[in-house]
Amino acid sequence: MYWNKTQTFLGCCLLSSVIGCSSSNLSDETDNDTLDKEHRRDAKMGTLFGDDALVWGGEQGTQEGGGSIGVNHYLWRASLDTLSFMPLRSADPFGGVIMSEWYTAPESPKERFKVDIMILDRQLRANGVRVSVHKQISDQKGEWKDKPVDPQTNKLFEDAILTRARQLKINGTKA
Amino acid sequence: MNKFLINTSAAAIALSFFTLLATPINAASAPGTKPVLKITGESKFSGHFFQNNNRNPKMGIKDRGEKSNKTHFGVEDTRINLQMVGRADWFGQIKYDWLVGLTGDNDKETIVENRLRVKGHWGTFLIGDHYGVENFMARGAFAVMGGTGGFDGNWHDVVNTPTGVLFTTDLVGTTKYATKATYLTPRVGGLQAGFSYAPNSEHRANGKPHNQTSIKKPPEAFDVNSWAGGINFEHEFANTMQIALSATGILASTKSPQSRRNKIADTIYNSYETTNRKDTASYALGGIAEYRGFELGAEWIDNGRSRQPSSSIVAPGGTPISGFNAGRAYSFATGYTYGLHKVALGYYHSERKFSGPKSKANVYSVTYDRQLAPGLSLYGEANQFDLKTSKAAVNTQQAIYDGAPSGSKPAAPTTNNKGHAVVIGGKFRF
Repeated sequence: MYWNKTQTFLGCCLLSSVIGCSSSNLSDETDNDTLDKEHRRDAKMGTLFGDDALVWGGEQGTQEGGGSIGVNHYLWRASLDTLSFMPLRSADPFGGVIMSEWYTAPESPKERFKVDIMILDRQLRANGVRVSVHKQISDQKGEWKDKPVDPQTNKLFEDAILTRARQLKINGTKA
Repeated sequence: MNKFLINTSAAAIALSFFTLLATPINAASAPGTKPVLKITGESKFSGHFFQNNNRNPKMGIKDRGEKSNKTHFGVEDTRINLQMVGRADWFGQIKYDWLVGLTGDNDKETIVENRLRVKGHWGTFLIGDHYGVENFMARGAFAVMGGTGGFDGNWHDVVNTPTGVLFTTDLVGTTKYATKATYLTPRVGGLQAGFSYAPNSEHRANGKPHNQTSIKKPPEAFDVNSWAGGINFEHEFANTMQIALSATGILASTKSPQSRRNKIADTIYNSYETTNRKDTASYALGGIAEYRGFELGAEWIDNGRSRQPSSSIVAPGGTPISGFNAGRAYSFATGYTYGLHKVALGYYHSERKFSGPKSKANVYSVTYDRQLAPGLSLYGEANQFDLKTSKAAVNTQQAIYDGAPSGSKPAAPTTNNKGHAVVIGGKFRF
């Protein structure tokens, strides 16, 4: 009986070792993989001070929250990814400000958009990014006129950035 | 047999190290970095408002005294973690961290977790006092619940649990924070496997080795050469739907609570304590699906006859008592998160035989969480429970209890219990 059990586990060990020969990055993925049941349930609520508030020691640029830029690098990278379909006018990694050029989608040539993103924190927080979308519509004379933008549009952009930041954090991608 | 087990254990661990050693060293890897010290922590402040229909069990109450009061305040699951994290140029660069988890729960030792973790391209290796893969690789309904865990939550502390009732989502044989070694593969294509090996399920930190008699008071059956294995799969689809599936299990050689040498009198207590036990063989299958704020989870647990008497127990002149198993359980839960709010519903059912007829548990739970800020939330949960045992189970436990020496009394027998428990509180993490 015990022989069979032990054989089974030896098989699992072999399987583990075979899979273990595959490559992976040194992301925080496994940090989450070793969370016990209770902490896994509570991990979704985040932390009061963000990921790296109570951190001492180390070297400049090695902490996960900011690194060599002035704002959270996950939010920074996620913002750039989210805006990658638009031409950028400026991007200040120290002030955390990204401004796009006016962008006209091919399917709606009579309206154009511009997006300004401000990253507010070195921590990856839900309120750590603010997006302002500007919209203009071309009138009959071909002049661009400002139009109000539904606040929900800003929220959608912020949600997209936060979702992307979360993915980057899970994958351990650095800026 | 023991020699074989020892050899097998050593071979498996050596295999892990072989994998580690076989990884080519990356000469171009980045230089190591000075470690950082992180401090994190958490706590829950709960008010329990409950009713046990069975307020006066047959022979008093185990644990924290009689649980008939209707109000109980608790500060629960308090942890302060000191974690040193660094990287080093070794085996193609590794990330290491040493974590010491201090608890504020006064029914536990000061340090509950103390482990070293090393992660490389070859996977993750942990050694020290930490949970095994049977815990952290499991996915299931318990993870969908909010509050303190719904059917799996802290309100268990205020309930008079009838004799023989299985009332947990942990596998029988789980080694909790026993000292062990764990290896996890990298996650490849969403798939990850791992195993944990604990030489003794009761051994922690620098405790002296013991393999014959339980060191707990009262003594409990325990395991030596405990192997836990797990495999899980996580995937996020293009439409943002996420799924996680897991299979976990434990195999171990079980020891009776007390050595046969401690058999001092022919009582049913001594028979129960010293009769050989079935080896631990338990497993769980579970999964979670999440889509646009909706979550659905389920888990099936089968503990087989783990740690139960392998033959009848008997008192002199009495009828042999048999019919023990470690129980089976299943649970379902569904939840919905909308903004800062989360609601979850759950159901837990278990069946277990303790000296004959089945003992059963039926628990219905609803939880609500309101996040106030990252790391700070309020919660409320309501649990309705119906826990049934049998007369045979109560009588057997009574006989065992009566035969036990004072100072080493096992749990007193407890008859059926039905009632509810409402928990309201707040939790924070930093």
